[in-house]
Amino acid sequence: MSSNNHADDTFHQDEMVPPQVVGAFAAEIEIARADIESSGFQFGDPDTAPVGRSRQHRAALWVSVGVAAFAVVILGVGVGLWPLLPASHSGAADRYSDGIPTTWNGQPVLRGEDAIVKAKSATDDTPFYVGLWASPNQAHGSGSDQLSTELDGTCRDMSSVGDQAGIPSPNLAAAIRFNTASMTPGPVIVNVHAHDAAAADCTAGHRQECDGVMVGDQIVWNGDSGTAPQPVSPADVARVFGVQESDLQNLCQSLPGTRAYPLGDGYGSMVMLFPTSAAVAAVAPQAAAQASADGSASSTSSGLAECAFNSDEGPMAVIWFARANVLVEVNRPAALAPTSDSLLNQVPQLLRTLPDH
Amino acid sequence: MRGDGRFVGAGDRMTPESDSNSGDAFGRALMAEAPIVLAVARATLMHESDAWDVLQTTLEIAIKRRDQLRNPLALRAWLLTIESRECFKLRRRLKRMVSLDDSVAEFRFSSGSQFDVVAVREALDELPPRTRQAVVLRHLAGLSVAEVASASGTSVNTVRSQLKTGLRRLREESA
Repeated sequence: MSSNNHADDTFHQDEMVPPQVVGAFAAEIEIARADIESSGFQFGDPDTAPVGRSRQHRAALWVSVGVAAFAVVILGVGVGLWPLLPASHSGAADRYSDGIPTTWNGQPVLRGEDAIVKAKSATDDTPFYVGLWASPNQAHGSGSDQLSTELDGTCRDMSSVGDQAGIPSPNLAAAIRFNTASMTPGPVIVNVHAHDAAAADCTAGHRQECDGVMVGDQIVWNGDSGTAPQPVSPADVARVFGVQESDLQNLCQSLPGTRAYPLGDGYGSMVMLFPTSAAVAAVAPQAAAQASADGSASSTSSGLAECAFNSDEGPMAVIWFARANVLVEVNRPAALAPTSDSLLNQVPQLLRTLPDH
Repeated sequence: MRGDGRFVGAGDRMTPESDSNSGDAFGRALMAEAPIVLAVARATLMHESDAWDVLQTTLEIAIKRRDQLRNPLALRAWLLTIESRECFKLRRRLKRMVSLDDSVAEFRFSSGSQFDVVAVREALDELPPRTRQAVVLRHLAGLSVAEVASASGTSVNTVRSQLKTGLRRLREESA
């Protein structure tokens, strides 16, 4: 594939790309990838892609000069290409652009604001499905048994849910409760209901708000191959960083669908695997922008709030590394000389062995 | 991929296999690049259905001309060279057509649209077509300056000038 390095460039100053442009370009690619998968697009098959004006124009010309037979030849070529094509994603046409199915058991899977509005306007506890991204919560996300306590208290919201991969949604976090104890970070479809019985225990001032909260009965789907982190997979991270795929740690940040693996250096350093590269660009734009220069450059600022980490060795410094959908946070006592740190020296080399697209 | 530059093998990992599998590997390689091709077409043409049109045409041409791909490691640059020519031809053809719709800036925003995608698309739309193409090929598709020059049929110095101008205007827009 083409290189991403800037070896042939001598004008880095002029090549400074605004972080939002970096993030937007990464998002464009992810959107295109999702659109191609969800459309079931197959090249050589004119039925699977929107037809542009150019093709409409050409088609009209062909018909007007009576060369319809040529279309038969084109069709034949198209059929001939089929053996060269990968199999389309199973059920891809029934998925949102981020891979979450649009229906479950024949019922619609609602997303974001649609689900919130549905719950707030519900008049009973008829269940429905909501699709979102989530990671296990440490303290919240309980079942309905704690609903009233959490709704009436100050500790109300779930901490790691979002309508977009890797990006928290405060509105959604305030509007839903479900048990995340046994889930894997990633997308979920949750069977929820409003007007939970526990809302009766809410104070009068909160009753209407409590009735409108989505309470989860069951996680019915927790991702599949179509929503697995990419381009770097959990197996890639495990292989390169020597961590266990199952050795996930809770994140202090609310990054739904993001996996974090401890690096075991005693300072809380970790490697975070986001669902997509676009998610890294969105939540850690500065680190992603730095990484775009050579694939894994370090940054002392990520745009993402680092976890506070207590140390007896004085103030801590955080160094970020990013590549594709991987973000590495290395915590070190600020007094240590970075150049003498083996982990800091190793991380860029390890990252460069990961796929970047 | 093999050392002689031919796509072989089955599955995600390219391994030495019989030639009968080379079509599968090439098809997979093309589809792996398809999101980049589509994203570049969208950003270049600013028209949703035309972008899909160019994606389809680009991949069809790639299949027909696969023997012309000398270095499989340069597949993306090769595809985007084809695409750039198709975009150029399409723009030229559309100039001659009387458009009955006003959807030149049409976009289909998927539910995954986020960040500054809309703002950046608007800023790109303000750039001259050649400048926009250079910025997109360089910074969206990740081509080297030399590859951008080759794909655009222009010189390295011209591309550098276009990139300098384009990025300056994008920085101004995002300030």
